[in-house]
Order: sequence, then C-alpha cells, then structure tokens
Amino acid sequence: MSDLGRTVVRHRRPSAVRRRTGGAVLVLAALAVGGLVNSRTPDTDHRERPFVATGAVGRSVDARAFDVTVQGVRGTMKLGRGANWHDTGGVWVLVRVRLVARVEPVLVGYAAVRDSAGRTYRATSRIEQPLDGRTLQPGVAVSAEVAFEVPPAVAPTLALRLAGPLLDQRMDAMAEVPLGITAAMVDGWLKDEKITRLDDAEVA
Amino acid sequence: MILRVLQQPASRLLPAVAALALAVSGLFGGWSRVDDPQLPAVAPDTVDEGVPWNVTVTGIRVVAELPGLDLQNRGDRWVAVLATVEVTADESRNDLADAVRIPSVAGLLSAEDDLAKGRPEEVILLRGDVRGPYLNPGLPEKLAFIWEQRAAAAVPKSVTVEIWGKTLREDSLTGHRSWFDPQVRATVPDVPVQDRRKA
Repeated sequence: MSDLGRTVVRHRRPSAVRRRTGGAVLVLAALAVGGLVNSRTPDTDHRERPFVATGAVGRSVDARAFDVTVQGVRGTMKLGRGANWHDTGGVWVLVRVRLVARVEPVLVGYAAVRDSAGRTYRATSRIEQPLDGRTLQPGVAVSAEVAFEVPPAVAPTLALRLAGPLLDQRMDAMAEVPLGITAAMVDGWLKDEKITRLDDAEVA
Repeated sequence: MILRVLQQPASRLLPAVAALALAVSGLFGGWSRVDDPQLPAVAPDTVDEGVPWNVTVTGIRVVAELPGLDLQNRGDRWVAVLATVEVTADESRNDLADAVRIPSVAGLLSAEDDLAKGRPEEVILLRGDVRGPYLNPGLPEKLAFIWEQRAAAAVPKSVTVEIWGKTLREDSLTGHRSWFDPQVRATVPDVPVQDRRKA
C-alpha cells in the first residue's frame, strides 16, 4: 500500500449498497429536520389569535374600533330582567362597562369572560342583554351591564373579553380586563337571596 | 447474503419487502378477523362522560303540544328526550342538537329531512324555557330534545337513545382547531316512554 514512503489512496466508485444507505440517511435526516421545524412552528390558531389589549378595572382599553372601561362588577343568584327573574346553577356575574366607538358605528358582538384555566363563558343567552344588537355611534359613550353565568369556583379568576366580531375574533383586536373578583365577594353573592336587576344601557 | 439481497434492483426489492412486512404482520395478529366494536350501553340516569359534553339521559315523553312550538302537521305529536348535559369543552356551546338522536323511532319529520339528518327540531333549556341555548363549561343543565312524530306512526313503548360526541382536531383545509366528526359514542337502550298526551 505504500510506494516510496507515500500512502496511495485508491478512489473507487461507492457500491450500490453504500449509495442506497447514504440516500436513506439523507431522507431520514431531512424528515427529522422538517419534523423539528414543524414542532417549533406556531400552529394556525396561535398565529391568527386575536390581538389582545389588556387593561385594568377603571382604565380605558383600546379595542381598535372602540374603547372599553370596566366600571364595576356585581354578582347575584337571582337575576332580574324584564318582568322575570332567573336562577342559576352557578352564579351570575354582572360587569358594568362604558363603551365608546372610535371612528365609525360599531356593534360589540362578542362578550365573554375567561377563567385562569382558559375556559370561556359567553354572555348569557338566557336573557336579552342591554347591548344586544345596539350599534354604538362614534364619540357617544354608552354604559351598560353584561351578564355572565359561571361556576362559583372560577369567578375569582375571571377576565372580561370584548371584541367586535360576533363569531370569528381571529386577527382582530380584543380588549381583556381582569375583573378582580375575590372569593369573599363570591361568598356574599352566593348567600344573597334578593333579586338583582340588570342595568339597562344608557348614554354616559 | 444480505449484501446480495440489497444489491437487487428496487423493482424486485420493494415487493419482497412488502410481502415480508405482511407476513410479519400476520404473525402478530395483523390478519386476524376484527369484530365491529360494540358501542357502550349506558343506563338511564347514568352519566356518559366524554367530549365536548357529558350526557345523562333521564327520560322520554310524548306530548300533544308544547308552549311556543307549532306542529307542522295537525295531529302529529312531540317526542321529547330529557337529558342533563354538561359542556366539557373549553367554550360555551350552542350545538347541543348534535348530542342526542333517536333513529329507531319511526315517523320523525327530521329523519326525512336531508339537512336535519335526524337532529332534534328544538333543544330547550328547561331552566328558563330557553330555545337553542348556549351552555357554559362546568354548568350542567336539564335539556329537552324535541322531535315531531307523524300521527300515523306508532308511539313507542321504549326507545334506544344514541349519545353523540365530536372530535377536536385541526381542519384539514384551514388548520384551525375545531370540533368535527359528530359520531355516536354510546347508547341508552330501552328508555321507557311516558305518554303524557292525555294527562
């Protein structure tokens, strides 16, 4: 193998087995890299999630087409609306909001509360809500209460979520305001046997 | 030997590999006959747990009329499946008409409707008498699932109720996760029917 002290290297064409093995290794490597990239890429729901603007009770939050200020929270076991009252298997949470359309008339189609586990509770459909179908005119502030029905255990973790679109909130602005409900407040609501009437909408 | 096999052209190698895979699969039961899986049977008043809802069928009633609902045909009757439903998904839901079916009952109008496909014509939240309600996660509620039955069809003595569920998965077109593939997941056999038309 040596000639005059130098190593002679022979160049041979790789065998068919080596070529196939090399090809298989390259394919597996490409699949592994693709899988890794895929696993680190945000999924469609994450990529197209709403643009959430978070605020606090008493402070105005910009939801692109309108501003919202949470003015207060009440709770009850018996919700009065119209001539009737409504009981609940959980607890009623009534959130008072002040809304102002920014540039053009706006319908606030989506109202929900979200707990710390990510569960979302829509504004109740058991009653006619004061803001149902109400178009806000630019610059005219409107105050109203929105009623939600939730399990008592999650009430202290709730945050209000409001957005314009009724059905599809992806890739649009959404206001989120933690409601600051305490366990003591919920205990008080659970013991309260009087009927609490939902406030109607009014120009504020 | 192995090297000689691997040096064969792919056109010969692939069928041989496929045949070998089938043979090995057969050794581990791959060719065994598989019986149709039986749906679990649930007794009345027993919770069937699942997603996106838990369902407890509590009874069936036949009534001549319901407040606020009009029969399509004079003389027909309403068949109402009563059930307690708790949403186990993460969001409030109003697709509760997909939760329960009664395909064994003859003469249901919705079974003749290609769009309804056996879904109930109404779902009523008994607390507050609300039609087509949203149910919230973790708050079980009593519901009535309502079908109109033709007058000519017999009133059943007992009915097998199907409980349906759905699957949370990505939409193959848009990639968005949602609830698809409604499918029967359990049955409640022989639920007695209470005929309340004369009461």
